[in-house]
Amino acid sequence: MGHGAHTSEPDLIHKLKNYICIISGFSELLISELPDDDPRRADLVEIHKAAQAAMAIMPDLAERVR
Amino acid sequence: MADGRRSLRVLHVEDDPFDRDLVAETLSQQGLTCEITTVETRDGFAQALDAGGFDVILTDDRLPRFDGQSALAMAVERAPHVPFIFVSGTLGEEIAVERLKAGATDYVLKQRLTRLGPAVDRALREAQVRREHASSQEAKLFLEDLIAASPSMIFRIDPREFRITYASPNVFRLLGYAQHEVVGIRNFWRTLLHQDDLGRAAQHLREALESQTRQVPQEYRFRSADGRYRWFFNLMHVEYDDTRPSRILWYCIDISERRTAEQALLESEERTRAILRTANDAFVRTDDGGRVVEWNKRAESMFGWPREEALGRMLADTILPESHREQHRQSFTRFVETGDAHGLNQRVEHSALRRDGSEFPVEMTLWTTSDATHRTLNAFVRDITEQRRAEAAVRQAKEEADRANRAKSDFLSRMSHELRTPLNAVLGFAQLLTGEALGDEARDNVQQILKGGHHLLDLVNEVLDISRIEAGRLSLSLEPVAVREVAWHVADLVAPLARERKIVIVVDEIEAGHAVVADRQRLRQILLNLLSNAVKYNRPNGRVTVTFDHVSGDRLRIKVTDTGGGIRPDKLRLLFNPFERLGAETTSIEGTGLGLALSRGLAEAMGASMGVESDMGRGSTFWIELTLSREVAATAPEAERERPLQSTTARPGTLLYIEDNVSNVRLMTRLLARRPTVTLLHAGDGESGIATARDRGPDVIFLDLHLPDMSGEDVLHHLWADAALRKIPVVMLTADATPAQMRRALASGAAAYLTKPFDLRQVLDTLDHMLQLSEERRAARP
Repeated sequence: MGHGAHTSEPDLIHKLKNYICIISGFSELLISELPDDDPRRADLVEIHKAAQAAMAIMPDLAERVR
Repeated sequence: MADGRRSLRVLHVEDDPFDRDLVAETLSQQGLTCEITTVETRDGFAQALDAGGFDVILTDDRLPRFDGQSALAMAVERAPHVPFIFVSGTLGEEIAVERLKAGATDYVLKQRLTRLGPAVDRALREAQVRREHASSQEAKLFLEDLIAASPSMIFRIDPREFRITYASPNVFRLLGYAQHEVVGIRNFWRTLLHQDDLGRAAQHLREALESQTRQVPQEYRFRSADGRYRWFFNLMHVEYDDTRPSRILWYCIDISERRTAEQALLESEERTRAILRTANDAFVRTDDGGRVVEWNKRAESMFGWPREEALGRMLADTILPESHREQHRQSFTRFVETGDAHGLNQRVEHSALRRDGSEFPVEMTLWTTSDATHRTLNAFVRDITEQRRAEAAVRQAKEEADRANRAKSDFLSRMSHELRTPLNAVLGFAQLLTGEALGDEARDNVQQILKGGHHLLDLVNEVLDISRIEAGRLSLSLEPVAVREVAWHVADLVAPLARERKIVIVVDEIEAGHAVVADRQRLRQILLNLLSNAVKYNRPNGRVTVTFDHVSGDRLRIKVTDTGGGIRPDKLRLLFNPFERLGAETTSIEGTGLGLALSRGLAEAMGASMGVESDMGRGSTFWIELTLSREVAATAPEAERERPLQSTTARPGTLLYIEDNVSNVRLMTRLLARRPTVTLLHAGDGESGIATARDRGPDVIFLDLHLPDMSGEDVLHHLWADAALRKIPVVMLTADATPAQMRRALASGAAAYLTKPFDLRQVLDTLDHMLQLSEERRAARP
C-alpha cells in the first residue's frame, strides 16, 4: 500500500487479529457466564463462530502479503 | 605648318594695314602657307583665343586700343601651348627680355622681318617637342598610376642572371620591401619564395624555358619583410629573342585571403570528416541518383557493408528492407524533382536492413544539401535496438507493477468481502443483544464486542479505500458542498465524545452559501477523522476550533486546531503514513492508524491538499485546502437519527430471504422476531429462490449478491423476466460494497441496496418500506 507498502500489510493483519481476538474473547466470556439453556447463548455462539471464521482467513492473508 | 600639308593658322594682333600685309607677304615669301586672322582690340583677341585652333600668335607691342603685354598675359592663361612671337618696330632689348620672361616665345623686329619665317618655324618645332614630351610624361604617369593601383606586383627578371631588374612600387605595400632591397639583387627571388615552393617554381620555369612556353601560371608563397608568408597567384610571362629568353615579366596577385578561406574550409571539412568518421551514428550521403557517396565507420559496423563496397551502391537496396524500397524510390524521385522529401529535417523511425538480412529499428535524421545542379540527401542513422529494448523493459516493468497493484487491490477487495460476512454476524447479533435485558458487566462485554466489530469494519473499509485510491479506482461524486453544513454536522457527530472528555468544540463563523468542490461523504469522512483526532489527542478540558481561511482567490482552507501536546517536528512527516500512530498504539486512544493516510489520499483524489502544523506543548493544526465552488451547494440529505431497535406489528407480509450463509439467515430470523407479523421464507441458492418466489409470491425479496449457483444479478434478471414476479420489490444484500456494483444492481431493477455488515435498524426500516411499496404495487395491479 503505497509508501508504507512493506511495513503496513503485516501491521494490518496484526490489527485485524487484535480486533477479532477482542470479539472472540468477549463472546467466549459471555457464553461461559450464561446458563446452557439461555436463549441468548445461541446469538453469542454465532458471534464466536463468526470471529473464528474471520480468524481463519488470517493465515491465508498473512501468506499472501509475505 | 612648314610641311605644306596644311596652311598655318596665324592670329595676328596688328592695327596697321601696311604692317599686316607686310607680315603676310613675308611669311608667304618664306614658304609658309598661312591663314591669318587679324585683331586689333582686346575683345577681338579674346574672342579669337576662345575660338582657338591657332598654331602661332604674332603681335605688335603697341596698338592704339590694346597692347602686346596684355595680349601675352591673356595668351599664357588661355592658350599656353601656342607659340607667342612679338613683331614690333619699337621693342627695345630690355623690354624684349621682360616679354620672354613673361612667356613670349620670341621677338622679331619689323625692320628685320627676314627672321620671321625661321622664328615661326623654330617656335612651332619647339612647341611640337613640348607637346610630345608632355604626352610621354602623361603616359608614363598613367602607367605608374596603373601599376601602383594594381593589386598585383610586377617583377621584371633578366633570364640570364635571374636578377630582378624591375619591381613595381606596390612590392612595399604587399610585402614590405623597398624597391632597392629587391631590384638588382641577384637571385633575390630565392629569398622571396617559400622554401617549399622554390623547387616547384624553378622546375616550372625550367620547363617553360625549355619548351619556350610564354606563360606559366602557378600559386606560390612569398615571404614578407616581417617574415610572414602570403599566397600569390603568379603569371610568368617569358619573352624570347628567337629561341633565347630575353626577359621575364612576373605578375603576382595576392590571394592570401582566398587561400586562408580555402584553408579554413579545408580544415572545417576535415573536422567535419573527422566527426563523421568517429560519430556514434551512421552517416550516409547519396547523390541525386540515390547512390551512396559517403559512408562512415559507424555505417560500416551498423549495416555490415565496408565503405569501399557501399560507395556507389543504391542506398535503398543497401539499407532498407525489401518492403520499404518502392516507397523510398517514389519518395526519392519526388525529392530529386522538387527538393521535398517525406521526413526531411525531422527524426523518423524506420526499419533498417543489415547485410546479413536481419532487420533492426533505426531513427533517421534526413537533410539535403544542394548546389545549382545537384541535390544530395544526407542521413544520420541511429540504431535504436537497445533503446527499444529498454523501453520495452520499462513498459513491461510498469505493466508488471500495474498488474501487481491490481492483484493487491483485488486481493484487498476480496479480503474485505470475506471479512464482511463474519462481521455481519458479529455486528448483527451484538446489536440484537444490546436490546436484551443483561447485567451491567454482560452489557459492557457486548459493547466491547460491538466496538471491536466496528473497529474491524472501519479498518476493512479504510484499507479498501486506500487500495482503491492507489489503484485509481476510487469513485467520487464531486459537487458543490456547503462548508458550514458539513462542519456543523461533523461537530455534532463528535460532540458526544468531546463531552465525555470535557472538550469544547468551536466552529468559526462562515457564510452559509460558501461551497467547495468535494465529494460530500468523503469530505465528511475527512473532517470526522480530523475532529475525532483533535478530540482524542487533546488534553482534558481542552478545546477544538474549526476555522476557515481564504488562501487564494479560489481556495478555502478548513483548519482543525487542538490544544493537545503537539507533535515533534521529526515525527510530522510520518503522520500521513498508513498505520503510523506515533506511539499512540501503547495508549488507550483507539484508532486504526489509517485515518490520516486515507484522509490525505481522499483529499488528493478530490483535488484538495492536506497538511499539518504543530507547536510542541501547545497543540496542532490539521488543514485541508479545497477549491471554492462558484455554484450553490445542494442541500444534504438529513442525517439519520439514532433510534433503538423497536418491535412493531405495523404491516403483515411475507419476506423471502435468498442467502446461502446460515449465520446470516439465523440473524435475519432473530431480527424478524421484532416484526412478528412478517413471515420469513428462506432459500439457500438462486434456483430454489426463484422457485420459492414463483410458488409463494412473497411481498418482499431480500437477495444476496453472491450465491453458490448463480449471481444475485442473474436471479434478479430471472425475476424480472417473469411478469408475475416483476412487481415484487427486491432488496440486494451484499458484502461487496462498491458504488459501481450498487449502481449496477439498482439499474437492473433492485428496489434498494443494503451492505453487510447490516445496520439492523436500517434492515427493519427497509423491510417496512418495501412492504408498503409491495402493498402499493399490488393495489395498483389491474
